[in-house]
Amino acid sequence: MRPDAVESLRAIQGALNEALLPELQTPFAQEAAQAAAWLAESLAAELDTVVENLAQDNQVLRRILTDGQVQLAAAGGNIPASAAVNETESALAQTGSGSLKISDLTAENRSLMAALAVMLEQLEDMRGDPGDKTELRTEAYRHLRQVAVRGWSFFDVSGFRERIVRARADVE
Amino acid sequence: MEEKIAAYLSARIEGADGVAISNLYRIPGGQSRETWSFDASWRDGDGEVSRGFILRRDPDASLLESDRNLEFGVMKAVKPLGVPVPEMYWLEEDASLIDRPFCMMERIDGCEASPNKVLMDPAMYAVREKVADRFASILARIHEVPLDDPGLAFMGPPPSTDGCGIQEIERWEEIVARESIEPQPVLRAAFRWMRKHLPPPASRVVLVHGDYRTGNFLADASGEIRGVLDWEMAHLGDPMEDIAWACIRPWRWLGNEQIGGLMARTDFFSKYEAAGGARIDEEAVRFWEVLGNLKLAAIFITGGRSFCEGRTRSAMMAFIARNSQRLELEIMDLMEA
Repeated sequence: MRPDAVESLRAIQGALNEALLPELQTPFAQEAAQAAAWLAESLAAELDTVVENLAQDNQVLRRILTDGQVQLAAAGGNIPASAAVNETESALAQTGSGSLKISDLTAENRSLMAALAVMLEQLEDMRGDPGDKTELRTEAYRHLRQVAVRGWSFFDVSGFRERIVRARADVE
Repeated sequence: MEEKIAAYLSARIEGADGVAISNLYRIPGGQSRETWSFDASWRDGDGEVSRGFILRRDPDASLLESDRNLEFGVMKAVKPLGVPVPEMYWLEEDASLIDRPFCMMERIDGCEASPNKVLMDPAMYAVREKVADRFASILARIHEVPLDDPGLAFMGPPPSTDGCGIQEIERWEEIVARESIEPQPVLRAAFRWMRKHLPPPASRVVLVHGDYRTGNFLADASGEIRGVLDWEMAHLGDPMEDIAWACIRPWRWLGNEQIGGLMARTDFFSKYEAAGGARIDEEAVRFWEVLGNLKLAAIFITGGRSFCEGRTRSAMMAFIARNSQRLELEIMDLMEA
């Protein structure tokens, strides 16, 4: 059987942790090898689900932005001409190509996230209170929290050890 | 590099003859400056001299474009004012001497700085209470440094007591805007949140260390803190900024709620106040914790950009930049978003 990409990353980690690190003499070299091993861990934790996550994220973001566009337009006045609507229209028009290449999905995600950033600001301005828990805003932050707890971070075995366990339970 | 250091010391140390460099090695950490340790020996009129040095040299790319002159100047100024720091020897901007600008300082031996050692080593565990006491009391001492000391004149006029929060928002917002290579909805929301939740005026404007945390001090086996390091983000501002930075989750190394892995939050506050520190304002600390997490995210973003643009090939820089999502989680928690 041929090792897949994740299994191959584990092989790199194994070489770094078991063969190279114990042999390295200087603390700086040890730190560099440790960082490389952590990078491999971070990639291995992400690789299997990255396409699925990005595709789902982009779908969720498109829905949030479409709903937000409607809310902002319904607010009337000069809101339809706002940066949020323009940014959203542009993001929605550019995305959804159907490509499953990571680079294409990431570019799409960045475009949608840029529109979300502008929309969140506009929604706060509309409501007057950044703490206001509108349904749309709640949904946007739920999504941002799901993204924020994904994958593997060095912090998960240091300062965030207990917090990340609670956070993952919250989003599941 | 040994030859260049030896030539430099020969020119710098009056009467030094036969300068020899040994045990030169790079110390891990310190992503904003390369840090090197070495021993130097020479002969002078009194005989053989041997001394340990630390060399801090500009990197090829950095987590943060920081000011070497500021760090050198502040450390030199606070040493005679009762703040434990290594003695600063020389600052050189001439890149031809040792390839890049650098400063040299005293090496303080027999101490630990790494959080793993300070918090996990069984020998250090026995003195943790003392480390915690000294951690809080030295911060109070830093905040008592007189700002009219001539050594600190180069830092310019202090902000007003009600301008400290805005000063730091603007500083870090500009860095995030300049360095980000991807959209930052959480960080942008956090800047807006901070502008709407500005802290009350600082009780007094103080010298802010800017990176005061477990990992940036040298503790000896008795629990004494003999050197506070990494002053490159020092500035004048609100003492609650340092308090909050010490409290942020990334520096709670043990993964629980212990501040700096050392003590409960209430203990930290009471020890600091008892040592003469400013009165703690917990709502202000919350504001400054949001700022602290944002600041760390901005530092990561800067390092990530350096890597992505090919100014560094450091695996550590790439790795660090991949950890900013957890900071966003913490920011959303603090904003209750």
